[in-house]
Amino acid sequence: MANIESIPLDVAVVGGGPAGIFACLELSKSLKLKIALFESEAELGGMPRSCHIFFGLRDRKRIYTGPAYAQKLDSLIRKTSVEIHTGTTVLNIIPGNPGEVHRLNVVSPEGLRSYENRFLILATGCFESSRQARRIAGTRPAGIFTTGTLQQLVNLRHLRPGKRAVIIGSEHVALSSVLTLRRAGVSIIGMVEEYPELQTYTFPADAMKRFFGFPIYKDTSVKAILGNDRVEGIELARGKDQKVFQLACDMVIITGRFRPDSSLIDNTPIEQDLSTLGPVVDMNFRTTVPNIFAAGNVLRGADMHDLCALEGKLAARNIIRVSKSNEAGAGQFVSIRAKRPIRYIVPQKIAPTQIRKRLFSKLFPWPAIQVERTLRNPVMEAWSGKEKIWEASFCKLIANNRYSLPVEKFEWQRVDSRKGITLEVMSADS
Amino acid sequence: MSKKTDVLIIGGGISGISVSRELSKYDLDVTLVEKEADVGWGQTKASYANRHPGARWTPGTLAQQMIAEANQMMDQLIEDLDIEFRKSGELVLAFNKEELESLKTMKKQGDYIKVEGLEFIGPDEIKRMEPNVNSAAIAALYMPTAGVFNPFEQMLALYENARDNGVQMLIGTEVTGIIPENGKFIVETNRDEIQAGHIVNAAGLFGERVAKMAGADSFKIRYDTKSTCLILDPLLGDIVQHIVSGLNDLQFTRYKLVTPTFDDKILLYTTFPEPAKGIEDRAVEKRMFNLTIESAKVLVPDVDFENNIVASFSGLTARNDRGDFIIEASEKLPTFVNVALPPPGITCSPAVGKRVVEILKDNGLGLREKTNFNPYRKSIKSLRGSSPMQVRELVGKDPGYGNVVCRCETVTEGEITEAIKRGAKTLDGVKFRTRAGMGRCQTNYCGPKVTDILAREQNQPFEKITKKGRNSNYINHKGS
Repeated sequence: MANIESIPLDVAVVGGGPAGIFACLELSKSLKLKIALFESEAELGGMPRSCHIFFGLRDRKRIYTGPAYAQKLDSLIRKTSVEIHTGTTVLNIIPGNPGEVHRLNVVSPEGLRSYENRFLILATGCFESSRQARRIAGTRPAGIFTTGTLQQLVNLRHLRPGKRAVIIGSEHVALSSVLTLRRAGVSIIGMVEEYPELQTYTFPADAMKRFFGFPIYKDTSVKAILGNDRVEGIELARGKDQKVFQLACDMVIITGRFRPDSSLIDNTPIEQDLSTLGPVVDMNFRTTVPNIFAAGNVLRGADMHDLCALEGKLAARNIIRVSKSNEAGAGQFVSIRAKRPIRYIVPQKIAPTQIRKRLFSKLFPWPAIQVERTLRNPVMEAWSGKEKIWEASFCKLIANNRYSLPVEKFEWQRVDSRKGITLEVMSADS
Repeated sequence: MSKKTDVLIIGGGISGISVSRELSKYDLDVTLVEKEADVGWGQTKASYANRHPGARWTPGTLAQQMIAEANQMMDQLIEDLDIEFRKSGELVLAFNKEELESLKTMKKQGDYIKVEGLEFIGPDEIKRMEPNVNSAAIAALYMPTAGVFNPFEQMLALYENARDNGVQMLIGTEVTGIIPENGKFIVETNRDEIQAGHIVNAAGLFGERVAKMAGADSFKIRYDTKSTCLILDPLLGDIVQHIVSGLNDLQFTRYKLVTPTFDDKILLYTTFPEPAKGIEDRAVEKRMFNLTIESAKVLVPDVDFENNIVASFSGLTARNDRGDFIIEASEKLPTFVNVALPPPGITCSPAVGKRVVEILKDNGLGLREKTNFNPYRKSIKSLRGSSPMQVRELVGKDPGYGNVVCRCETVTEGEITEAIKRGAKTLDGVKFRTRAGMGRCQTNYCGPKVTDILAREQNQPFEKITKKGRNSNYINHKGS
């Protein structure tokens, strides 16, 4: 798209959710930078707009509802000099060569525009895997939604999408689904979890189960969705003997298994992590293309909004630092990758020299790992080539929960940086 | 109330629509009835949409003759109707001596209808053309004229053009009875009664049932093979550039295929014997996922198909007891024409339309060419794939083209409102016309937004909008 004139910017931030907005708030403290934020929705705020649980604990130090939190972010950013473009979709990014600007093409009802940016921050968030991606068998009737779609219908449009729902999955977001359904006056027929363990904290899940009176079917897989026009039920198989049974319902809510909304990095030289499906970043939120950063749930689906907000803030700080010092080198990084059932490690590149500078805390785990299913008594090891550089055992690692990887405890002198580091779960009871 | 028509076409799939478009060239009253809420919702929409050169079919079969004729007409049609087509070429793989013999037979069959460019290639050349293909393949038949259509677009192009040329399209109209009367017919439907001079039965899977209503049945539809398509994430990249297929038996009861699609995805297809659970059994069963992936891996191993599925669909294919195409006037009722096409309906549809018109003419239908027939139709303009100047023009004319509704496939409000103007009444109708909802998130982001637009444009409340007609309301506000 070279034949339209470009508008110069210092930093373009793509995505107006918590990560993008907090990046802008931080960047705007540096008065010299010309910053613009692009959001495809008509309103800023991202996911919290349609969600109603607790927000703002770690980033705002108080508790908001989702919409109030989104409004707060909106009012904060509107006090800054950041250009805000809502209802504007980024069509593609065209990274420049090292030292050159990165181009961004956007479209809105006002037309097509092109920007040339010294820095980019990708903060496009994530979405839940579809029923299709999860290979859930059966017919294709109306009434199959993800939590995200359900919240769009219930919390933004104030509609009741059905009467009786079955929830698939038991990650944290499934609990959000429970609250949304109950809020809309929908009965919950059951929650179905493929694994023998819940994929979230046991206490709130059990409390909700008792309070709202629905069964949780663990160790149960979906055999088929039933119904031609509308969902009529769901066929399940439970336990070792795979006992088949059916539940009648008019809605199936498919929850969790988030994946980054990272389509902007498709067909670019920005390296993608095949386990997260988001961009590979280093400890400073830099992607593999200089001056393109990524923060928030585009790095991995999905984490709490406040952690995303902090990531946005830290990415912005790094941009300010780089823009002042003209620091070119990315430092010596060691690649780290995880084997299943570890779902991911983010960042995927670690600079051993930077480790001591950071203060690790439970509030902001970084580097962080997640497991793809809840594990009891796992033993975890890190290897570099044939050298074991770390080992630890845990009581329980809950799926979809973010844990800090204590890289400061790794024996870095034994790491072969060409071979990188592999993280594995050696044994676990479940 | 009763309506009179010269020719009534029963069934709005690719064959019925092709017939209607061919008939729209003449001064006739032509009516098409379709029981679903839109056209092409039977086998057509679940097609793998390859354009076959015809080498798979035996010389002397009507199927091969139709394919050969259609391939002569197709290029003109693609141009006139602005149809998406990608001439990718096809490699048919052989893994042993026996299969190599079958390839040789295929080549002879292709030569019989003068398919251009057929060529045997060896393992090295296969590797060069398709690096990801199974290296156990000992040879391949290269068919350069094969390619892929957008199945929806091809069908909708013919539909829109036929409608522009005066064919009455009665959507949501189901035939419930046919009474033959002095060479004519009284047709009962769920709506008005229709008096028809001639009938073309293009009811696909329901063809035998419709023929029986009139007492014009001379064939049986077999409900014993089910096909499954899996669409893969473009993230996997160009796994294959060409259509890569295996051999099949004559009845296509076992067939495997890895093919690029019109929209740069990859499609896996298999068909295998499967006792039907009803004509409209479209459930994708768990083992079909596995079987389809297994057969694809025979052709292209070492690809993580499992974890990159974007969409999956299944359905029965209307094979018949004669094992060939059936396009003929009923012996008992010569003004009743049966059209029963096993695959590849999409490839040969234009020739089928022409053949049906000849048969109707032979049985007394008077044909006078229209002077004002318009052979052209333009596809819906899309933001995706437009140049910056084109985007400027599109958004300048309609700001809706600047509002991206489906993020995965970059589909704008402008495209969706245009699709609704052209006849989409449902979410699936919009999807097949614009691709909104065909991407990674599978309508989970754009579903409510597309429903908003459908409600607004049709001046209906949100809860009345359906996914695919009947009782498939996007939200079940009434409950049950």
